[in-house]
Amino acid sequence: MNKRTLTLVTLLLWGALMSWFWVSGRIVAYLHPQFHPLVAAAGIVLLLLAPLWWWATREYVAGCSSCGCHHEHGDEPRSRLSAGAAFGFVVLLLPVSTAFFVSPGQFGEAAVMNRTIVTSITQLPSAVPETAVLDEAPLLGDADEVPDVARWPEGQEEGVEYFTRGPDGAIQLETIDLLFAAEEPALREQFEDQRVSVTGQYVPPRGGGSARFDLVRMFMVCCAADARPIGIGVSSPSLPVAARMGWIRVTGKARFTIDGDSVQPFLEAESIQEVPAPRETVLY
Amino acid sequence: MDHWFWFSASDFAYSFLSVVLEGTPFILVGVLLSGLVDVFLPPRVLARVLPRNPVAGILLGGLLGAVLPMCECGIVVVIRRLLRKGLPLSNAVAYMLAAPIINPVVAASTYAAFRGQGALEMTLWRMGLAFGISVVVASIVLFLRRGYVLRPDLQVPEEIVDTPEHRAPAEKWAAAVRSSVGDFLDVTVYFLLGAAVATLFNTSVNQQLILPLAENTALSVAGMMGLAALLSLCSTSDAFVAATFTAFSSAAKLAFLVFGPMMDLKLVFIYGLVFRKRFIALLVVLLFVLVWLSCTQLPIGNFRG
Repeated sequence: MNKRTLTLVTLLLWGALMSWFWVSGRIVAYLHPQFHPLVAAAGIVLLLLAPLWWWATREYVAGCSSCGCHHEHGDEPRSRLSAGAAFGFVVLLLPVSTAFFVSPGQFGEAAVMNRTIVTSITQLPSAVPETAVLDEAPLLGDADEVPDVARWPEGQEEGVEYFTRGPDGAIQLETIDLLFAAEEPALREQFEDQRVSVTGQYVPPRGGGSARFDLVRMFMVCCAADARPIGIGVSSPSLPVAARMGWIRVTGKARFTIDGDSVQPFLEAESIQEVPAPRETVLY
Repeated sequence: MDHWFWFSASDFAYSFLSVVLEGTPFILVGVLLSGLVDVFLPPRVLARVLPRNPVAGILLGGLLGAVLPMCECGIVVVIRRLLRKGLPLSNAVAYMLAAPIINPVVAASTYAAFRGQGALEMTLWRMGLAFGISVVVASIVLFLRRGYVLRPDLQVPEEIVDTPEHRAPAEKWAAAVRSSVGDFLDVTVYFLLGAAVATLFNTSVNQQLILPLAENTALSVAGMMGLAALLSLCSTSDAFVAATFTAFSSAAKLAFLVFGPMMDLKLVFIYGLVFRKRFIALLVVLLFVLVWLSCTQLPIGNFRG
């Protein structure tokens, strides 16, 4: 196969791969939504470039030393592959296609432990959880003093009732919501002792023995490479029978422990269920 | 901390693919622009537009990112093309180092990421320091021989080698396609190698390793620069990661934000497309020393509010 054909194959493969990530929805686990259209556009451009490349190199012949063309001689598209060019195509084709099949679309325990679990919202200034709207709502003080822009969303009840409740009456939360609530005394007061249900990935205790484990959810700014695990502790009479980093839903009482300036949320588990991974495995 | 290195092939594959998916569109923008520059920008036009005074050229190069924003992955192919068109080396280096930071997108993301941590101060310091360091490095490059800095194939500007202006429009577009595709293949090979090395560190090394450094200014600045080099994040998003290192001083976070987009593991590979290895080594040392000195010696303070 000459360089011209291999280039065509490379463009088609890259274009198909990027388009597939977008069309299949697999992209949601890899990139923040703002980048999804860029991936789609890149896939389309690469697929368009492939036939354009074929057309643009139609008149090239090997050894065109006097063709007046505008490329580096000795590197013509129809020439035989040099060792360097062959290595280049191996790098272009092999790792990406292998990763495409190997990648599970979520991090395992190694990456979570290497990045350390974020247990305070102050370690995540860019996070804007659902509870941000609660922070702006007139929970305390004179409602007349609250500017219009900070009023509770029309049609919504105040406080924790803003959140959806499951069939068992437990408030449906994300890990990040409890971290945010931990930093806000008014919210903390409202969530304390409430029955809540939080879905996340199971991280077993390090060292074993303890029945307290972590429930984490990855928070992404741009791509998985910058994702950080946001976790809350869960105390339970027994450890869940779930795979490491498997998806579980913990239902129980929300609690907060205050240690000096630090407030840590945790759940006293009543029940733990294995659940399928949500469509969006990461929080943005 | 019970480990410092923990490798997982599936974590590696996942993070690696996310970097590739995020970076490829920006590389494509760079190579398409490069293809157009290659065919439709005659060297004499560039020579006419650029200031004759080298210092003015460097200052212009340092500010060019504000109107021609490029990320660090895409800019190298554009620079390579402009060098072939006769852009002075020092101007190119100033543009290459500054543009990934001094551009509206990065200014906005830095400001957003540092809300509550002195957003305005951090944004202004980042832009100002990036500009200053780019100008200093480019001024040093001004005194270096082209042969010392550039790969052999880039040492002779194109005006002496070839002038393709006589071609028909269809052939010009065909040449632009060939040029863009050639650049895409070249830069993507280097990008993939760099992304793989960076991903290895990003997913396998325990990031708590650097936390003990936070107590000491000199070490914390150096530690955050090292982390920026290892993580190899995109300049449009790195501020969101830097802002999470709340144990570190503003100076250390500033060092992360200025050094990372100029020099990281993936860029070491991508720079290989344009520069000789010895110049890349010099660039690593120069940037490290300049950013470290600036962030430890300038009165940066701790930004709040």
